[in-house]
Amino acid sequence: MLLPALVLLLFLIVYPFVRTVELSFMQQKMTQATGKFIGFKNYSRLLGSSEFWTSFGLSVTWTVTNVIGQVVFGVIISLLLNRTFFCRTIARGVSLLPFFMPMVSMMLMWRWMFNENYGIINSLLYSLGITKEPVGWLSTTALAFPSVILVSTWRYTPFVTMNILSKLQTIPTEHYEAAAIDGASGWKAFWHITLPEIRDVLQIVIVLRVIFMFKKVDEVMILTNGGPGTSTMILPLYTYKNTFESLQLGRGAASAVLLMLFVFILMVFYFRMFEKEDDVR
Amino acid sequence: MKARLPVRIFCGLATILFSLIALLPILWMLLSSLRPVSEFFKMPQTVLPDIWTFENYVNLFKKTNFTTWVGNSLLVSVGTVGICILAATLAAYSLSRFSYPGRKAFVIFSMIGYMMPAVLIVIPVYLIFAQLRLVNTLLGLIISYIALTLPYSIWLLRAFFKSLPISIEESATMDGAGTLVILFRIVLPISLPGIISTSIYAFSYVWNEYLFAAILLSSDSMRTFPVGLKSFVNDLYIQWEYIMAGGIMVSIPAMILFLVSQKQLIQGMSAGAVKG
Repeated sequence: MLLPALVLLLFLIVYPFVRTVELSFMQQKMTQATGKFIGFKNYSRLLGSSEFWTSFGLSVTWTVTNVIGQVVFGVIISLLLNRTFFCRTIARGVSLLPFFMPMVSMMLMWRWMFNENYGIINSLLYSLGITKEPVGWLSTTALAFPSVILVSTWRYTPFVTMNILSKLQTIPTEHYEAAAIDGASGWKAFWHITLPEIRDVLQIVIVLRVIFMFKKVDEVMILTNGGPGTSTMILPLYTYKNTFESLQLGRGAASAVLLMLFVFILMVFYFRMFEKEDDVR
Repeated sequence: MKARLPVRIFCGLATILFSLIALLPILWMLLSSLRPVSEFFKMPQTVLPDIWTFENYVNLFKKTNFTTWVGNSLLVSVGTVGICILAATLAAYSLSRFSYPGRKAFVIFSMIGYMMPAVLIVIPVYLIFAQLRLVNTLLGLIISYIALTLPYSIWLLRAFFKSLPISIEESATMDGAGTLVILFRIVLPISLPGIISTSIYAFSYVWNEYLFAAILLSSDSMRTFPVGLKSFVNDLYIQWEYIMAGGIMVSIPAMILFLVSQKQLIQGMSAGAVKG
């Protein structure tokens, strides 16, 4: 019964992976059918190039800022939504929307809102008298990267909200009532009751978000495609460009393998967490 | 337990603020899609269109390949989900019920597959498909999407099967029912919620996928809608009116799916499920 899945995964994940590793030792252009074995040259060239390290640095910044933003806002929003109030169901649904709407349409829409000449954001800033000159949100080197991070934080915060909220709902209210009798409420209650309860979920969510943000490529591709210059060229996008635009298969593959290596290190953390809870049997 | 009034007002305002941040961009897409092209290029922008019109939608359907793209997307989604769920169900059931060497390795391996960067897989897949003449075909896209959705589907379903009581199956075995009979007659009907969650996960993955579609599909009539919408961004100019109208059109199914099956959707996408 395992066979169909096994065959599919061998053919579609394992074999491609092996092919990529093999390619990374070759000098081969997209137009060539076979390549020339050059050993670790692709790797040494990549690791010696400043472009690679710039991309790597951007990827680290991208991942760290994104995950911090998503976790901070996600926790705050889930705490807010866990309170009882009028229209709670609607507010919960709305707060999850950015994550469930089609990715391409959301990204293109942000591109339109960020448009330098006719975007609503510049239009509002202009009308309110805050700026006189149009702001190049996605078209200037200084602003493009923060803008892109802002958009992806907007899109992925709901993932954190959703997970934390469902954990919060399992905490019995008696805990808080008991704490209130002892005079602990607000910040103290959060620190001593809520945080310990959500700690495990939070850990897993953080590691998952780190892995997924680190390997993410499509959003930046649509928003800025790495530009202007290389100011938003995160590592997965650098890999993509090497392979499909410079058509350097070998170098692209080597950079993909390095990317995988980083993801793999992160994955080890993830599996460590499971070992603790004994879930993978 | 009720907090003090200023705290409650503050929290209420914060909730409203965050809801607006989530909602306003989507609302702006809707409002933009309903104004004539000329109104896109004026400053300052008015919040409501001066002239309300459906012409962007009409033109989108008349003058572009939009319906073909959505059709392709549907075909690819349904094809992928069907095969993926069948293979995942069989694998997950076997992993959760039988014990054999390599079982743990397979589970970990499928998790690694789930976390593998798409950009790594797409390079060799493109080369292999070029040899097999699967580039620029929907079949090729379906095959590669199965690779992308299968690992996590197995993981989800395995977690679900593990949570089911085993006693019914044991008594069915006593009565002489075979493994496949038990799976299809007894296990599947009670696992329907898990299968629905998994299908929704796979469907929304495929419905949203951009990278593989952008690389594997080259002709306009083969495109799925994410690549199609992106193709309105040309080097020379961008057809914003089609992007907005099309963006709203493809968001509607996503919205409906979200409203109808919020619970299963969240179940399928949350880290709780990944926990196994």
